[in-house]
This record gives sequence, structure tokens and C-alpha cells, in this order.
Amino acid sequence: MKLKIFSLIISFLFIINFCFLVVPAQAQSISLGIYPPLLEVTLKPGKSITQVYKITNNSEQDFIMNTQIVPFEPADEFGNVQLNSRSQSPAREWFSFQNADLQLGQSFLLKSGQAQQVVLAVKTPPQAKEDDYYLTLLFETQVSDFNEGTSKTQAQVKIGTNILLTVSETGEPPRKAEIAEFKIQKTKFKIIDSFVQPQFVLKIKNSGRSLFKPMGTITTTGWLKQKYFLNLLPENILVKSTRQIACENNAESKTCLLPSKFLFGPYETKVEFGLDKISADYSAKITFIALPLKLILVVLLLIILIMIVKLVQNRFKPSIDK
Amino acid sequence: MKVNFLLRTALFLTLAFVFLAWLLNQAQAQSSLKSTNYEITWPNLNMAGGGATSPGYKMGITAGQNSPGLYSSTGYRIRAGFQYIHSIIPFSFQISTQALAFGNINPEVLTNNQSLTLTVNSGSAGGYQVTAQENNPLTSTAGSTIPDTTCDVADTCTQTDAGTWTQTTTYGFGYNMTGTDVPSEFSGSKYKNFPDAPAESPVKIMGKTPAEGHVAGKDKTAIMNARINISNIQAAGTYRNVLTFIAIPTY
Repeated sequence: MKLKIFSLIISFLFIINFCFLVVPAQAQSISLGIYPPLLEVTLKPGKSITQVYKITNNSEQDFIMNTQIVPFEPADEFGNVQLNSRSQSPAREWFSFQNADLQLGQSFLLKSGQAQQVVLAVKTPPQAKEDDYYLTLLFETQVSDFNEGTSKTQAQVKIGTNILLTVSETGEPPRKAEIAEFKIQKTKFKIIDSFVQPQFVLKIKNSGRSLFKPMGTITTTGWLKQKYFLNLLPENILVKSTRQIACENNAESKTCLLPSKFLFGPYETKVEFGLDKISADYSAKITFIALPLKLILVVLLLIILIMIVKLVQNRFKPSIDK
Repeated sequence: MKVNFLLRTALFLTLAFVFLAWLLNQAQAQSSLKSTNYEITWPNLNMAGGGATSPGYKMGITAGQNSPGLYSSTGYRIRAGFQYIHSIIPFSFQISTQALAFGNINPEVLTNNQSLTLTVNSGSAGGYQVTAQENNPLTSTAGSTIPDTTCDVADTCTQTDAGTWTQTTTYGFGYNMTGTDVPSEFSGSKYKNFPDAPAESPVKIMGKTPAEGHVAGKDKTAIMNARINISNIQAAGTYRNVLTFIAIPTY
């Protein structure tokens, strides 16, 4: 009898343990970190460099990671990228790992809470074409094989860092830009409301043979000679692409928003920039007029209302006299 | 009399605006910007860190070799990270679960939903993007598939265009995104379907660049709500696929 009770208690505890204490494997998260986020290299043909990368596993479990180099191209005018794993870029062959125990393309174990340093080597062949090559170094988790009989979508994570490689004999490849668009957003007839801060849209096209960063300023001058400045954010514009440029108007937002709450009268806005240096090599200007349109509308409506009231009063008076 | 009143009003308003314009319009310029996440010291390009080496040389991350003479002797120039912003937040990406387990799927209901939380730390100035792609539609071991949803007939959806999914007779597999840095197309509880690898390119589900209004910061969180709806004649079975998330800081 005692043995039966003991067996029952053990079975009960086992069931409780099974139901509540076993954590399902699929509930675990995947958390990865990578540094540095971007590498820009200018390299002579036949030369090599190395760069240390750090990949961190902040998850609660170990992962088997795979590595690969994938060419990318600009996806849009905002700086997003589109990976192109089917690209036949020769630059894929120029990358390797210099770790003693790890090769590019080889999988490795990344333990929970630990970081792995990989030493990426870039070696251009002597006959490498002078050009720009854009690639992403990807670290990816292997998909776990859950054998549970339930319908599910399993998740895989890839974390990457971009590499902008310029192969150049001189280190100063031909750079050329075009101002594709410079305007005020959501404005017609060059008239803005005095109480609406104008937002400038600047799109620059790279028509040269190497990437560059535009460096310069958007200057707005008013009719009282007052000036407002917006520094262009020196973002990379890749070859054969157009990019909308952001501004350093404040630390939180990088839209090219004029830093004034109220404008009145005619204004002239000029953008001047150089490629990888501050200069006025490229420039464009627009003019606009700021008027308190909404306020004028309100005042006009008020005046019309007052006039209507007065008219009604004037018509009403004689009838009372009668 | 009325004309005089209008003229006086117009004159008064004009003078008031001129005075306001003079009062508020003052020249502004900033040479450096700081926040809790980073410090901008534009246009200084010669910050230095550590980590890059070359045979015979050792140089720092983000060390700019701007002299042409130095380039001709070394044959290389490296800039790692963002030269104009010294980020103190490394780029990291997290998903809350390794699998969206749907369990037993009931037909013709819109309650077969599973969610997944995406968290990004992005301290860099250049912004980031998270894209998603499935290996194939949900497929059973017997080879039956649950197709990707095309949303309601009145407001259809694709991988790139969001649509409404409110009909219980709308079948398939799709998802909706809410939270920080999520594409605006998802607003109004709209759904899309996943692109299939390798023929279809991954689509952006989270992230912003500076031109899109990126703000550097920690713990940027978005929620993916995945949904399955099947018809009464859907073949029984265990359906599975793999969803790949690609997180990259942009350039």
C-alpha cells in the first residue's frame, strides 16, 4: 500500500514537472550583434588589407553559424540595400578569413553569451579592374529541426555588415555628381505657409566611377538677409545610383527641415557641396515665398462674417423702425 | 469707410508679420551635435579606433588616410564605421522566438494568429533595414500547400502592397507589422504575403534610413503578426516552412 502511494506521488510529480517546468525549445529567442557596421576600403590592385569583425551571440542558447559574402546594390533612393546572391561579381573571390580555425563559408559554433572575432582579408588581384564593389558579409543561424507534429514557421536570422570596396591605382578615382532634384516637399507654385517649416528634398546622382560623400550646406536667405543653415549628412552615394540626402539639423531627426517656426516674405535657398570635401563645386538654388495663407484665410472669413452680420443688421433696422 | 477699415486691417497685419519675421528669423548654425547615442563632429574625418591591420601595418578603425602620398606607399585606405558619427550602440538584432507554432488550424476563422517580436539596437547614423523572405509556401509532408494570401478581393495584397484581410473566406498565409520603424503600408491592420526564395527578393519589414527619418537608439521594437486561414477542404497534415530575417545596417 505504501509503495502504491509512493508510486502515485512520484508519477504526480513527474507529470507536474513535465507540464510546467519543461521550457519549449521554440520559445527561445535569437539575438545577434555585429561590429563594425560598415567598412569602406580603397585598395590598389594587387594589395591586401584585413579587418577584424566581432559577431556576438546574446541568445540563451548556442548556434551553429554560417558565413558568406554577398554582393548588394542600392534598393532605392533612401539608402536601403538589395542583396544579390546570384551576382557574378569577381570580388567574391577576393575575400577570405585569416582565422587559424575558421574559413569563409565554413560553419562554426557561436556559444551563448560569447563573441567570435573573425579576421576578414581582402586581397585584390594585380589585374583587378579599377571599379567599385559593394558586398555584405553575412552571418546566419542554421535552422533548428524541431520534430514536433504541429504546423509551424521556423525562423532563421542573418545579420550583415556592408563593405564598400573601391579598387583604384591612384586612390583618387574619377568622381562626378549630378543634382537630380532639389525642391521643397509638398509645395506648389513656390508658395508656402508661414507657419509650416519647409522641408527640402535633395537628390544627388552618382554619375562617376566611384562612390562619394557630398559635403556642404543648404543655405536659406531671407529678404532681411537672415540666414539659416542645414549641413548635409555625408552619406555614401554609390556608383550609378541616386540618393536622397539627409541633413544634420539636429541629433534626433535628419530630415532637411528648415529650423524656423515662422517665415514671411521671399526667400532664396541654395545648396552647395563638394565630393568628399567641403566646397561649392556643385550648386543649385530655388526661391519661394512664405505667406500666412491659413491666417489670411481665417482673417478673410472673419471679415466676410462681420460684413454679413453688418449687412443683416442694416437690413433689419428699417423693418424695426417701421 | 469700409475700404478704409479693410486697408487699415491689412496694413496692421502686414506690419505685425514683418515684426514677427524680424523677431523670429535669426541665423542658426551648429558645428557639433550630441545625444545620448552618439556625437557628431562633422566634418572631421580623422577619428581613430582600433582593429584593422595589414601586412606590415596596423591602423585604427575609422582612421582616415587622406594624404595621397600615404596611399601610394601603403596601397590602401580604410574607413570602418561611420566617420562622422562615433556610435556607442553596436548594431544588434533579436527575434523573440525561433518558431511560430500554429498548432491545430481551424478552417475559415481569422484567429489562427501567431506573433513574433523584433528588437533592434541601431546606434549608427546610416540607419538599418530588416527584410523577410520564406523558403516556400507552407507545405505539408504529403506535398500539399497553404498558398500565400492575396487578401480580400476588395483590397488585395502582394509581397509589396498591403491589403485588407477581414473575410473568413480569404485563405492563405500572410502577416501584418506594427511598432517602431515599420513601413507605413501596414497601417490600418493591413496584410502582405512573404516573397519566396530564391525567385522573389526579400522585402523590408522594419527599418529606416536618415532620409526616411531614422533615429539612432536602443530597443526599437516591432511585432509581426502572422496569420493562417484555410478552407474546409484543405488537406490535413503538418504544414511547415522557414522564414528568414536579414538585418543589415545601411551604408
